[in-house]
Amino acid sequence: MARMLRHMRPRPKDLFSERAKYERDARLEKRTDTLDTEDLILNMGPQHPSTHGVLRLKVKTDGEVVKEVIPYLGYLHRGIEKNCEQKEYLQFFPIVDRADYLSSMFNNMICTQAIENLMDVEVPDRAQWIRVAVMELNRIASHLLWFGTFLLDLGALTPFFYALRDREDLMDILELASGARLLYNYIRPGGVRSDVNPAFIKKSHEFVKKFPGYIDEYEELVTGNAIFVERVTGVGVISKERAVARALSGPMLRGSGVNWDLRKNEPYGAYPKFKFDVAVEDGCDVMARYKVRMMEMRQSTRIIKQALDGLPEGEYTAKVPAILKPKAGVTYARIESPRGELGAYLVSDGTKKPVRFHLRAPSFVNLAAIDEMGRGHMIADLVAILGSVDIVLGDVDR
Amino acid sequence: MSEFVTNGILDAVQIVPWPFANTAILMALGFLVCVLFLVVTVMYLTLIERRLLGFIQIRLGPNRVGPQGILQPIADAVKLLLKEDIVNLNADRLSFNLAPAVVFMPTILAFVVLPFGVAALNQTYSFIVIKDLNVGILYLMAVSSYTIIGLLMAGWGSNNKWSLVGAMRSAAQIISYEVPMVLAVLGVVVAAGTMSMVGIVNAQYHVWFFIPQILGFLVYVITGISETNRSPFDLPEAESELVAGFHTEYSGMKWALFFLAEYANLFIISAIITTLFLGGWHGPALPGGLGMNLLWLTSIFWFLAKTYAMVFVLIWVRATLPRFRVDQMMSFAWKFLLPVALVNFFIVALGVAYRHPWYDGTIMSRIASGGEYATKIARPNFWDVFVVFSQLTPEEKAFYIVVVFLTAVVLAVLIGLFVRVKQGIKPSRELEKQWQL
Amino acid sequence: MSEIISKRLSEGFGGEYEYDPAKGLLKIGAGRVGALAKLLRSDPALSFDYLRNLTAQDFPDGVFTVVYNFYSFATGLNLMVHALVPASMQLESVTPVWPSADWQEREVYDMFGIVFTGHPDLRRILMDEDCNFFPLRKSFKLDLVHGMKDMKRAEDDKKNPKKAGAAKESDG
Repeated sequence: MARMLRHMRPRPKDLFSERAKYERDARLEKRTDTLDTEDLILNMGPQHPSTHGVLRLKVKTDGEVVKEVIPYLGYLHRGIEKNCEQKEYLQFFPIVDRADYLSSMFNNMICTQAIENLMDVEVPDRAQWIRVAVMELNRIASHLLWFGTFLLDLGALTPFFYALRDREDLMDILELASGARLLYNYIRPGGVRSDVNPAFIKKSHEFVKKFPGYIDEYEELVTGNAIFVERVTGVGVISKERAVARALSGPMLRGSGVNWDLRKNEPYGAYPKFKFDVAVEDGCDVMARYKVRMMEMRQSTRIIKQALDGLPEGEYTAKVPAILKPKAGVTYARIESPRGELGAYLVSDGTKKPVRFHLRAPSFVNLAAIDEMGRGHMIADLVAILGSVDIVLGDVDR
Repeated sequence: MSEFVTNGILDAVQIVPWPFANTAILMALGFLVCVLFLVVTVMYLTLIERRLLGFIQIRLGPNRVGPQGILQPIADAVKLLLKEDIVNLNADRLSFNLAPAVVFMPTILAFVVLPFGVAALNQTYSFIVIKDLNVGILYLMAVSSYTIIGLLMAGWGSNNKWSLVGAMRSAAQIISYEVPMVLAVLGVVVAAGTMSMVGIVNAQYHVWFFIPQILGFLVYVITGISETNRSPFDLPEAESELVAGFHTEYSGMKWALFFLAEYANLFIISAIITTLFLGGWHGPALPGGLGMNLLWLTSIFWFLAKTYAMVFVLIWVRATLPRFRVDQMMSFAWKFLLPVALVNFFIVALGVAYRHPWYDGTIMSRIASGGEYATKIARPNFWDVFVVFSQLTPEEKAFYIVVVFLTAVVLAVLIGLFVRVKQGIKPSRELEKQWQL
Repeated sequence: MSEIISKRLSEGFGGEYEYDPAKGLLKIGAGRVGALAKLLRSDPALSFDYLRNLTAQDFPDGVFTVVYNFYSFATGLNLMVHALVPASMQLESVTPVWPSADWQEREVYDMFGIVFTGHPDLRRILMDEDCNFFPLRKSFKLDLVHGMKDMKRAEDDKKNPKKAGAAKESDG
């Protein structure tokens, strides 16, 4: 028995060592600087139960409170920019589609915008209006998926299914327009790839009629829920100055009180002809961004209704050559995607392949602020904050 | 009819034990039947929950295996039995292996005191319960505390720091929520005048306890959901740190035991809520509707109907509400539920002191012994309240006014909390008018 | 609008530059990034506080340029800056001035190998930590990634030696 417990008996060298004496003195004086505290390093590994994609967050916590968040990216890096340098301009589109795969119309649009900035082409009105309509439909689809997954992260199981039900309707509508449910390859330089058919218009009208009622339902179930409000107010705060300094864009910036929407401030396409409001909230926290996105869904519905009602007759595309050769030059095109400012920096030398194509990804730049937003909160809040940034890993990693 | 009823109740006051209950063998047999019932119930509860969740989420739940998915639990059981039983290398084997049993045990033990119904035998009432202890509800509170030990054993034995942290959080949560729970139960006990479950059900003959003790009812439902670690209190087991909490490292049948323990707890909590607050086996067709011979059938039917209604409500709550954060959960228990439970107890205490029939558990014996109560308030209905009010002394009138005022204040605070967050949401009709669509 | 930029540049900026108002493009030489950053940020007439985009480009003749896109909320001005990277492949980091440059400079380092001095934490962001090439350089050809094209050819040759012989002659 003594032999078994031998390892538990303190040895003389342990009791009378310098370290032991030091610790005894410290205990007597009730000092706490001798306590060995370690930061817990928690790895929110590349695979999440929540569906953000492959993102690794190394979180240093002091018990429950987060002290530092270090994201590790690159799990979904596919070399889109390098790939595009080897390809002709029209061959870009299927690749860049897959950058921000939830808002593929916007990826199409940014390539188109960059190329059209360097080309002399007059896009017909009908094509511009169709572009606006499908982009706003895609914006609603993207925000719906954000809504579902954000609430799933917070523990509410049901809104996810409701959001997906509506998204199914939207994907059917966009399939009628472009032929694909998720990765459209529809908006081309010069116009769109094919004209819209009456079924698309009819289904879109039906959708626009019933969707505001659904948003009301979601707001009632979620925004009014005391548990939800407790979880998201005061969490993930980033002030206006820091938001501008970090070059956040989209709902992140508008949720911090900056009235900046590229559709209004640097308009492109047919947007100047539409009446809509920009959702701006002063809360600077997750709740403000949530409200901004819900209001954006409503405004998008408004835009779609105007687009469908006033769709002009005409050609759906201008005549562009099969092999595009934009003029030599440099351009930085930018549009407002659901995640923020999606930009394309294109350098062309007049040949059929670009010299440099860079995609300025909104999720990449927005994600950089997560360290700032997450410090001082608890781990459960970090999940909510990550949900409110609305990242798509395809966009972050390209 | 009322004569018979009054006589019957008088007899029922002397709690008649189940025939042959002193024989250990038959008691054991009864226990076995109950365990079998529990196991089958729990298996089908998993199916009910999954299908109900599916319906609330506009999808169908499992409906392929057998008609409407009836054989799904059996398929799940077979699959889990056949899974490999993985034990961590450095796990503390004793803790690890015993934990599921320790977690499941209190649930079965809690079954002993649940009164399922009443039967009319030989001109007396017998209660369908395995053993009606005098301290039934105290026994239940004591036994349900064992679950914490099991959780801590599971967290420790897994040799996984996240399991340990999840188990500790769960233990903290359960212990904090036991305090308001016991206070809510205390209100019921004081109103009924007895701790025995059968006595509590009997005391609800006139009015079910959730009406006079609405605050206690709400507190008990909320703490009941928390005790079973269900949403919205499921932080220790759902993706808290993106790990599954204390049952991360379990696989196969041991995990199945944790899972079953959760559903069995769901059933037990619903059954206890029914017994304490919803009138147990009382129902509109009792007694008499189908004849005294079938009293056992109607009473069991009402008990199970109310229990399953409560189960439905708990599943509905799970589907609807998001999860609490751990510090919000703790502050909710200590800073909100505890005061509300205390207010409820205060009201009950006042009611018992002024001998209001709703709060008076000893009414049974006083009806039995005759006296003024027997004539005045033999079977009060809703409108009697106003008649009685006019016949009260000024102190009793003051009491009622205080009680109503306190309840109104608390309910107003509750409603106000929920209403304030609705400001700022504009429904689409107003927005469309604004935009002139 | 662009007159303001030309005026302020000619007054405040010491080094040589080339400003094209039509394109909104400013080209500066190597090594003057720090001074330009101070001027653009703190000058009240310019006050560019929003760094929208930071990337780099590589010309076939081996010249690297780092590209910045600025916007000013106060004045509404837009500016694109091309900064020539010297042969040492080092450039001053603008992260202390505009924190949004943090990750974008890391990406430029990762893809091109341009080292930003003064950056708080310059390490690779999208590629592996132990990667030893810079993918977006023009000198990095896609066929030679890990010698995969050669590897595949070697495997095919092992399977079909006769075909390999014929293919080798026809390939050249």
